[in-house]
Amino acid sequence: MEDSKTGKLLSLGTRLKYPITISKLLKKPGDEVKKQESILQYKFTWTETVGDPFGETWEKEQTTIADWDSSVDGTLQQWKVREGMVVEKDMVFVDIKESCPHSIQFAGLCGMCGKDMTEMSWASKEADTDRATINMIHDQNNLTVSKAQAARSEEELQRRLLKQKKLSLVVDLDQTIIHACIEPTVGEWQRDPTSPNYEAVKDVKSFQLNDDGPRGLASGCWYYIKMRPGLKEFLDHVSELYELHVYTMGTRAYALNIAKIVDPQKKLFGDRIISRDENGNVTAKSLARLFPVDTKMVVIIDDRADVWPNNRSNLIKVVPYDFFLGIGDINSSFLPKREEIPKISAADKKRIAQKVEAKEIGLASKAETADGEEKDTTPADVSIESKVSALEELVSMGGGNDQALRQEQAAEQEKFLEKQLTERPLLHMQEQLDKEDGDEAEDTEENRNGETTHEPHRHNLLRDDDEELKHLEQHLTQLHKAFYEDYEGALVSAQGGRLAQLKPGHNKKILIKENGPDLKIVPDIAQVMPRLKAKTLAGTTIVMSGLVPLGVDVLRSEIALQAISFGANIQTKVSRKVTHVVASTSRTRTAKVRQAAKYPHIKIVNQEWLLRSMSKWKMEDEEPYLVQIHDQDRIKDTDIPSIPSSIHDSDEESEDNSLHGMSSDDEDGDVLNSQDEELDDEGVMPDELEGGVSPIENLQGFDWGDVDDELNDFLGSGSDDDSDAGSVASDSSRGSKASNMSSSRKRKHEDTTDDDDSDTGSAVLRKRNKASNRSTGLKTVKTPNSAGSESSLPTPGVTGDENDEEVEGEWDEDDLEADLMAEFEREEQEAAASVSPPTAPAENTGDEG
Amino acid sequence: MFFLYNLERQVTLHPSYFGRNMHELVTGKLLQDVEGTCTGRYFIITIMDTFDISEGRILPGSGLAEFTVGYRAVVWRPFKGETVDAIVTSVNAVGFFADAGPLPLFVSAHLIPLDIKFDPNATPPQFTNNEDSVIEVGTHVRVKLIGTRAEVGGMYAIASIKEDYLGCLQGS
Repeated sequence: MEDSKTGKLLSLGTRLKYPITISKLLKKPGDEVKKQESILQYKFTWTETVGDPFGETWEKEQTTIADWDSSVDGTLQQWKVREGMVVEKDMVFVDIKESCPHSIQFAGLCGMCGKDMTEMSWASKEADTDRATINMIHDQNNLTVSKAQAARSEEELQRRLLKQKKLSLVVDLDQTIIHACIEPTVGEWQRDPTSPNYEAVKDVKSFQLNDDGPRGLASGCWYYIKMRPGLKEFLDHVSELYELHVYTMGTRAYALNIAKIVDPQKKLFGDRIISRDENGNVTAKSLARLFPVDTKMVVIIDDRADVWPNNRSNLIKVVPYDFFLGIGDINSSFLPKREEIPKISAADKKRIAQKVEAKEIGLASKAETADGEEKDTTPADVSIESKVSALEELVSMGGGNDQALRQEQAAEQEKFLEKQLTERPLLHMQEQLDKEDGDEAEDTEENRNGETTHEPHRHNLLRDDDEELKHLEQHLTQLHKAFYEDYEGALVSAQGGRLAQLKPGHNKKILIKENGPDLKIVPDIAQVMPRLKAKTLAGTTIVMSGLVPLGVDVLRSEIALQAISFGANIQTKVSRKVTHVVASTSRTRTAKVRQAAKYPHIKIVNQEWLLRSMSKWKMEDEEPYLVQIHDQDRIKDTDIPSIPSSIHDSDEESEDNSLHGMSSDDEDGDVLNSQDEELDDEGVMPDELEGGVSPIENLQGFDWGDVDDELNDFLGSGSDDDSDAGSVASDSSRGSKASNMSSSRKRKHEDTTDDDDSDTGSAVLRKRNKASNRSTGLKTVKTPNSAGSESSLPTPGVTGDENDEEVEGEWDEDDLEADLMAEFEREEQEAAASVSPPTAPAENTGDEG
Repeated sequence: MFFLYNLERQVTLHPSYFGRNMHELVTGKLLQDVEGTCTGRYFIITIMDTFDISEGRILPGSGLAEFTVGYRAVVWRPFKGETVDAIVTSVNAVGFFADAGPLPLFVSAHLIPLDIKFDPNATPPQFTNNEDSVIEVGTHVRVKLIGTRAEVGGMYAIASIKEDYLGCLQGS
């Protein structure tokens, strides 16, 4: 109530007819003043136009006496005007100490004096409700406070936390610490100990939402909640260092139920739970809702960075917990779709995990069991893709605050949930998995007749092997330590500063008495955390390849933003300065990878390296993540002396190196020119192409089939095409390993001959070049080998089954095959580049970024 | 304060209900529609009886029958200055919320005696003077209303415990 010494200063307002003369002061200092009560009389003169019945008009001077009514309640402190004074313009004229600042309001009532704040009268200057607009209470929507009040309670909070050596931690629920779904299959698995997933789901908790949950089919359904492994320990430890808040996009009833499961004694979260019912915005979360004044001591953990548009620097992004495969976040159906980092295929993941493991333990066996298992998680992945796209349909609505929209979105979520109930994606996935297991078992029996046939073993769909929370706990501990080190450092130096100013004797007293200064010196998490994070990848210069979908600016993509926040320097092109190239596992032979392969110091790793490094806040050893490079990519440039790769570090040498010694061909001139322009040194965005016209403009509508046919004729290798397609098909249909091997062996054989052909008969090559140049001047020819799996149009993100083939293929044994593959890949790459939209940036950012 | 109040209401009945026990149906519908609602000035707590059910009048167009029912109800109108008992529903640093029957009310920290302080470290968080008064979720409190406001379908109140004999009821 006693906000300040001086009360509220009232001014006369601009609407009076100045100049005015103060004629009488109706109140004395110290008098009680009521709202709408007259406190001042003034007079002013004005001219009135009057007329008589005969149509004559003249002006007459009038003097009017008027009252000035108080707009506030309180005690009059001091007059700033005297009787008889002439006031020329709007000015402050009285100081009234308000009886109530109305700084806490509940549903339109002042929480301090009980007056109705929504009342307006002629005397009010502004709506009283505007005096308390900040909503900072977790579980209430209609309690608002004024800014001063908010600052005061926040200061109290900070002092308390500093005293306890704690920080605030805002915790997201879905996919961060738990994973929820309403798939009834989970319940069935839980009751059935023979189910392969029984182990994984047996500790899944469930509850029903009856009151304000979704309506319709999904009403009263069971929610299945899987806690992230190690959650209890994590929360127990972290709660010693942090005060925990829940901030979820679920409904309040949902949030409370989860809290009951996660924290039955209410020891961790207490009542500090905020849900979308109180959030006020269905698409974004904001720290300002809880900490309106100061977020210096707040850390967020969330699996989505995009819902925190204003608080990124306080955020620790957590790897989403995806236990119930393909379900996603049941409460995010109205959020914009998550910007996915291309998923690493489960098989690759496994391989890497094994490598890491092998490295740590020091023994590299186990590979045998892995082979079989590698296959089994992939179908789930496939169905995830399709599931996500189904989700996509329901998504992507911008959100405002308006009620109708909210209802609409709730309805959509309902639809989404109903879909889950009726379609039962998990059940289907498991069925599929079982089927494949069956197939595989048969295959193994057929192929390895001599070997012991193991028990037909049903593979489980759900895995319980997440360890993100361990890292997270480390980060939070580390962060807490860093923060309080900073704080203590600042405290000491502040003390020192005061010591210099004051006599030593007073020092201690002052510090205790006025706690004031130590809030100013409190370090800001938004600075401490980025500093810590930036150490992770400091000094690395990273180029990403195949990770960002076409048409997205690499530097603004989610993964790049993250990497930058971890201290990496992101480049769009490969150059000497680059230290790492992060390539998608599915596309390990992009132009960038091959460029990078020429620099021995550049480590070419897959995205898992980046993700793990960012998850662990520690640069991972690159070894297990290295992408296998075609020998050809490495060797070629050292073989060919004419390539200036080691002399200057621009990128022009990249494209023509592998041209089998034809790099100096005149025909390639224009290609190189345009390339040079695109790859100019510093530019994030390459310049426009010459004359603004793409050299491939006339390519649109070009019949590639003809070229293919022509080439087939030239190379005489139609059979090759067949076998290749065959192997791809068998791969994608998840055929047995045997068939895969046989086909690749076959191909190897053919490739050998093929390659001989191209090496010896360079005439053929020349012809081929001619064929391509004839139409385009570019070497954008789709060759029979590439025709099988990938179209000439670049597909963003992970697509191919070719991936598996590449990773598992036998290129190590066969340089010649590699040679040929490289050639084709490159051409394909170029084709992709040149067919992609004529604007140059797209080429750079999209396909290869 | 509670009042016994004579009220009147139009009740409509669907033609499929026309028959011998029409009056019971009308009464039932009235109970369903009216009991527990807030008119904006008072809450209708319960209906004692209906004393006058008019003859039904068929509404042109729809075929529904409209009855004018006079009934006697117990209503509760909260007044400024009234003392009520309430149950605490939520506690936070700014104050606490409580429900006095159908009426949600808020007691801000300014209207709580100075010796009763917010303790955020307690589980659950509470207002306490570290003696007999502990105000946490579920506590019964006696409060004095110092302001009320009505909206469509609901009322809100601000209350105080900063006076003698107000506050926590469990201690006394």
